[in-house]
Amino acid sequence: MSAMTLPIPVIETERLTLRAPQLDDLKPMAAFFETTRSHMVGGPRDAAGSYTSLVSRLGHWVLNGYGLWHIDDKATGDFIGWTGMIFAPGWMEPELGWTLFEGAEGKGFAYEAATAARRYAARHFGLDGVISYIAPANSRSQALAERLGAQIEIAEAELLGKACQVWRHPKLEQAA
Amino acid sequence: MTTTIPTLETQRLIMRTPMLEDFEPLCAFYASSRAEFVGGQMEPEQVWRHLALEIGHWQMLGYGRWTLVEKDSGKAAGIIGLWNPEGWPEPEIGWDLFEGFGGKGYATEAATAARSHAYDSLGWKTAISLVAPENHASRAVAQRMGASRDGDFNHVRMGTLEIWRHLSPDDLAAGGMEAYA
Repeated sequence: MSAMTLPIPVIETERLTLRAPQLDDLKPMAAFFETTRSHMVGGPRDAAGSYTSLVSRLGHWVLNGYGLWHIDDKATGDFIGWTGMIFAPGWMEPELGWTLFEGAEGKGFAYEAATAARRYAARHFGLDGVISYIAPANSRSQALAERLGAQIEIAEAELLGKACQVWRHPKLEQAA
Repeated sequence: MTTTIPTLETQRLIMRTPMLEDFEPLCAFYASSRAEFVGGQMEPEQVWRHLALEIGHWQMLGYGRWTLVEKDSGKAAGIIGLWNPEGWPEPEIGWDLFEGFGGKGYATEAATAARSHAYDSLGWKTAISLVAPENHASRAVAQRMGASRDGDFNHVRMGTLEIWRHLSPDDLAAGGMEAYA
């Protein structure tokens, strides 16, 4: 026997819970990856692709010791998106990523979740002053990166064959 | 969250949880022609994701596939076990042997141990294996284990696959393959 520990902590913010991905999340994820919104974050994907994405997030935590949290809106209990650290072959360094489903936007949830994830990564994973990859056309994400205090480090980069920008976050002690 | 992953031992193999050190052998496998029957060749970026999927499968479902380690050499020889991702017709016993480890009976040896685990520890009442029509080596493993043809399954990416139905726990208790001889 060998015990495989899945080191996924739960983070509570004022309005959100960041928690481990679970099988119940598949349906909303599949719905998201069918939409054009997903084009800027690795989509579109079919149901099997969404499943791979969901389940491999758990493996990502085991392999790297960090990964993506799924975000619940405390008020409604709804699963509204994800945020956290991503690192795999092709990535120049570990990345802070975030995605919110349509309908959850415009409330500051992404800022709240990404701030909590960034702080946790700096304190507990030794990942401080991290990057974010953002698609050139993803103006909402760029606006959030600015709000988070990040700056463009590489304007024309590439991730897995797709054009993107590399943004650099401030270190924890510099962040507001 | 902790998932307990049993390590199985057969005569010539250790079956252990997949881990990061399997990445390179998996890359070699998915770059080789052996990957032709299991979804095709993959770049290292996809292979890493696949390794994460193998590990996540254990976490999500409590079972999965093991990395086979050849006792004699200590080398990773393949990845075999219980597989049931979204879109699968039902839980499967799957086997992939790496280059250089075919023809030794390792797939049969490990898949038989995986089948015992499914029946004895997980309480499965049946199990299938999916075989690409051109994958004669894989079909031979299913036949050697006493499985029989049970229709086809159309996979959205891999096309038509043969369903092989394994002997049930009752069949095995009643004498297994010998009972059908």
